[in-house]
Amino acid sequence: MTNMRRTLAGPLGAVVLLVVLMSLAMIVAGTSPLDGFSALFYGALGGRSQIGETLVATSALLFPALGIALAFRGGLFNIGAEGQLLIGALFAGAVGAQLHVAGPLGIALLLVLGAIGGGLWGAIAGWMKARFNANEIIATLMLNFVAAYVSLALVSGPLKGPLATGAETAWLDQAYWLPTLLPGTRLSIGILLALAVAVVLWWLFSRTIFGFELRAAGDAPEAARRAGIDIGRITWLSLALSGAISGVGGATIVTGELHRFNTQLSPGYGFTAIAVALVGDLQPLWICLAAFGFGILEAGGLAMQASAQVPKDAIHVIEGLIILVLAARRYVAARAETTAV
Amino acid sequence: MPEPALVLRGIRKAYPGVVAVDDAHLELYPGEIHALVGENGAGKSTLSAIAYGETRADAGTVRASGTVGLVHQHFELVGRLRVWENVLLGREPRRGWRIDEAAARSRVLAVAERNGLAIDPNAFVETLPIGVQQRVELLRELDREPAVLLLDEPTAALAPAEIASFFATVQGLAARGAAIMIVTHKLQEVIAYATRVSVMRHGRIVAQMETAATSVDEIARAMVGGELPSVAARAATQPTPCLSVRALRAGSGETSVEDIALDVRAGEIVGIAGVEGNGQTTLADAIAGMIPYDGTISFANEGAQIGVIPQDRHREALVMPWSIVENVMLGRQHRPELRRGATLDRAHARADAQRIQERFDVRAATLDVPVRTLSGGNQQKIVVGRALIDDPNVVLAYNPTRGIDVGAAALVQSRLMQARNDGAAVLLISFELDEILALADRIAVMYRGRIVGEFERTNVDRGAIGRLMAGLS
Amino acid sequence: MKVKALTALLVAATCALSLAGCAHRRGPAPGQLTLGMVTDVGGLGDRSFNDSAYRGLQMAHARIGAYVQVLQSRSAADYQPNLTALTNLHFDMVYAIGFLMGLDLDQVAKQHPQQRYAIVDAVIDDPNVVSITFREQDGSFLAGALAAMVSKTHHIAFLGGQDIPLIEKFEAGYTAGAREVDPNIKVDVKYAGSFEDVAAGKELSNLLFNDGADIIYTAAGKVGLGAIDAVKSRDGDYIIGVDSDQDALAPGRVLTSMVKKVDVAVFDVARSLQEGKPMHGHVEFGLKDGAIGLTDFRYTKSAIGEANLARLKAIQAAIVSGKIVPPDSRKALAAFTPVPL
Repeated sequence: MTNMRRTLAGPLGAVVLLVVLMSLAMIVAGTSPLDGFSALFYGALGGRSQIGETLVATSALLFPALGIALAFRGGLFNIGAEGQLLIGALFAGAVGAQLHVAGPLGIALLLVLGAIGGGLWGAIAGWMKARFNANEIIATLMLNFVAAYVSLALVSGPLKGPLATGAETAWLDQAYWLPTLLPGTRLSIGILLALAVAVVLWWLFSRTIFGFELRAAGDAPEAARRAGIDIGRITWLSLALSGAISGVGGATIVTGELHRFNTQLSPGYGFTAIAVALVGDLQPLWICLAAFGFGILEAGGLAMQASAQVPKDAIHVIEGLIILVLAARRYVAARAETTAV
Repeated sequence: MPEPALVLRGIRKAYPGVVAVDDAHLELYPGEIHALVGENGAGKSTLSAIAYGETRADAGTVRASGTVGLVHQHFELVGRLRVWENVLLGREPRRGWRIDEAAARSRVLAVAERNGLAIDPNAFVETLPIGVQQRVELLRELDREPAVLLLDEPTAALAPAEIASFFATVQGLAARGAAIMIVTHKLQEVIAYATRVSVMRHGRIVAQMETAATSVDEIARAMVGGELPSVAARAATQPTPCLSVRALRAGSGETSVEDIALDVRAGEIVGIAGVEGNGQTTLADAIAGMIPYDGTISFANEGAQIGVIPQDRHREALVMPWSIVENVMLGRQHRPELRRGATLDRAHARADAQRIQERFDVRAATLDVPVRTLSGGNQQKIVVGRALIDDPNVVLAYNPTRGIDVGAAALVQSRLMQARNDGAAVLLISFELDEILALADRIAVMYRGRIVGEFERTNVDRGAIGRLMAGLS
Repeated sequence: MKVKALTALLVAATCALSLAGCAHRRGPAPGQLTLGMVTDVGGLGDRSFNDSAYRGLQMAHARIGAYVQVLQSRSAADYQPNLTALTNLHFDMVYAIGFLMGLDLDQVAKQHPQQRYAIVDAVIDDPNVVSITFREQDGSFLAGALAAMVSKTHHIAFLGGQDIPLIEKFEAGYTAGAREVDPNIKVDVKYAGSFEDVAAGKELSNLLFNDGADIIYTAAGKVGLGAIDAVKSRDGDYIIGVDSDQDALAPGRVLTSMVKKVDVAVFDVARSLQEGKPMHGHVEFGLKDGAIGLTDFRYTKSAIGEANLARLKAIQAAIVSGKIVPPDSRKALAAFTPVPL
């Protein structure tokens, strides 16, 4: 009972906080919260097309959130999902624009490339931590900027599409578009892949030796070391896997919805995903639910901006606050745990 | 008879799956030192938290004639603040909006003097030895002039000399009319310093005695509800070489070890005696393969299994939020019988955990509860059970009974002896000489990172060992 | 306990505020014509076709009482979500501003066959899309003719953004117009390879001026602003601006601007909808619709001279009457011969 309350208190509290803060934002913007929320929910769930957009955002958030959860469970605060997603998308977009193989094979190749790109980006941070004991928070954060500038440089120059004006590649041949899941919407079958990743992660955490060692390294590093677990290996491996999941997410955006790479293809999914992972209590299946909730905010937020004049950025500010609150709560809980013994 | 200073009547407190305190009655009188004893998990901590008002009882009444003070086992001090700041934290005398430092210092000095405690109010707490830190903790409560003072395991961290002076202080307090209750494991101290003792078992107070009219044995029997499990008999074994350490040099600074030569043979327990901080940790870590070293550490049989009981069970041995089953797998996750391809065989792990629970009498509602929720003794039983479950060739035990109750300690010692009888080579590092004398076949004394003397069980000289431990030859 | 009380308080406050805010309801009235618009990355304030299109919507608001909503795109990645968001709100017409959005609109329009869309500067072959294009070659022809009349060096230049079919229309019309007046005139053609690089515009126009050209016609978005900056310090040289009225940016040095009145086209499309005779398919706007033309030379009348202005008027009449057909590509330019008036 107490345990149940403990696990529910965080996410529920977050939702209450979210509603309160959003109401305040709406009032500041001169709209009644009643109108604002009805616009939000209508825009997110009011019909097939709306639900499609919500699930597009859900899918885009779910990949990096699962990646983040993997690293967090291993005790590594990977806040570089944004960069990992971007590099994954870049790999997929750069190759996808020039690809000449059969469709399904091509799509698979692009998704694998996304995983490689994101995984590489995560592994760099992991290697820095394992080799030089660099702080992974700083390393992953800084690699976000490196990813942004590297992709901008490449896509402004050699990889720029012939007709592109901004920083983007050429469009992918239609053969390499992920099939649509919900006809009449932009939703591709990428979301099924995301759900599959969630199930695999659940299995990984709860059943496998690797998941066991990963959790041990995260929950009690010294006991894990004494249990013969190679912490350095876990560190770079979990950051690489974490990045690979975010990278597949980036590749899914490229092949599923946008059909080309653009340096701005993520409006901060990698950061919002931190909140998603924390609200989901780092449990893959709860994270799916949390991603849906945040998908409503992302898709509904745009509708809210269009019909209720509340800037969508207000939602991002609020999401940022939630990350702060949840992270602080986790930090305090972790401190309490270590000082209590 | 005077009015009691604290009356607990019909106290009951239940947590999910366990009744922590059940219909407990207790009266504390001014001037008495009352010991509250019991095994870990018997309900002592809950009862004192209820008496202090920290925890609300489900049923029953608490009545105190004045303030109740509580000194925690784990000090709740702010290391970077000065002594007077810690003592008066939250009650600082003020002058306008500022703290009146001069008044604060003299007030702390006055309280210290009244209670015969020497202290420098300006010292930073983190620079003080443990015994003095405890004085600060005590002063904080004494400043509030409590009618009742509860002390939770007050001597757990103290050196023998500090213990004596601590009890002198406590007796002074009692003489001035305070009612004192000490929650403790150390039955010798109970006999030596307390006036009365209450024994708790399974949440109930099962016995109450005048200490003058009882003995350590009688209290211990009341605690466990019968006879103590006797340590398994020492069987005759044919020791054959098993673990051999030569010219070992490891670590740096005060805790480094040098020139260590040591043999542990199958079927014997070698005890390392010594005062804490003389290199025992470094030696254990080197043998466990946790740190680099020079010299040789060799095992007689190829691929020898080594079961380790680390010194810090919270940090080094257990993952506190994990279940018993998962903790039983930790460190054994690559064993063939526990793995099925890339996954873990949880059913097998559960069976292992069950076996440990039975062999070690682990008290837990289920095998799925987080070990965090278990008492220290039960946690240690899991650590020891896990170290022994795969019948290791070598057992490395570091203070295996530290901080656990007598029943659990006897059980752990008994299982170590059994492992020896079954042919394991046991290296026992302990700061309690009594434990080493009881268990070891041979004893090596460590001082400043070297082995300074060795004794066979047959010709042990307690005095000589004590002198070697103190650095006297 | 305290936390619970606080939460209850916050929830109560939110409810109270949401009721209080009910008075300010915004949104379209029932039966009102609703027009949505998605800007390209230039966004509102680009002093070019996004602004111009928005003026068209404001005209529709003022004259036929339309409800108007704009979503700005920060990057090309926003096009699809923005278009879909407005679609989900069931606007009567959703305008996509700029050919950059062509492929994105095509994708969204196919997913929502019930929704009407309009796109500016691109031709999209979907039954539910009105493609608005302009006969830029007509206005450019006039610009070329004027440049040939005013040039003292018999050497003029064209500065394009990217060499794409849309800009080719400007180039071909301009060159043909110049040859109409002066068959032997030298016309230099340069492309900046960008619509955004202001510095390149300044650099390239200095280059062209130094080579002997004394008038440059820019069809290059923000690159043209660099050219205007360059001409400020060059007496006797001129720039011809494009898209919107840029004459005032360097009074007396901008000979005229070839304005493309996107607002007129946007408004016409809205009006046709209001009148129940919605436009379909590809609609071209030109000189005779008043959607293309030169500015009124308010700073440069004297430099041009009455005779030249009269001659320009005659050429314009010839285009409107169909006597002159300005070429819209380099191929058509090669076949163009001056028409004697």
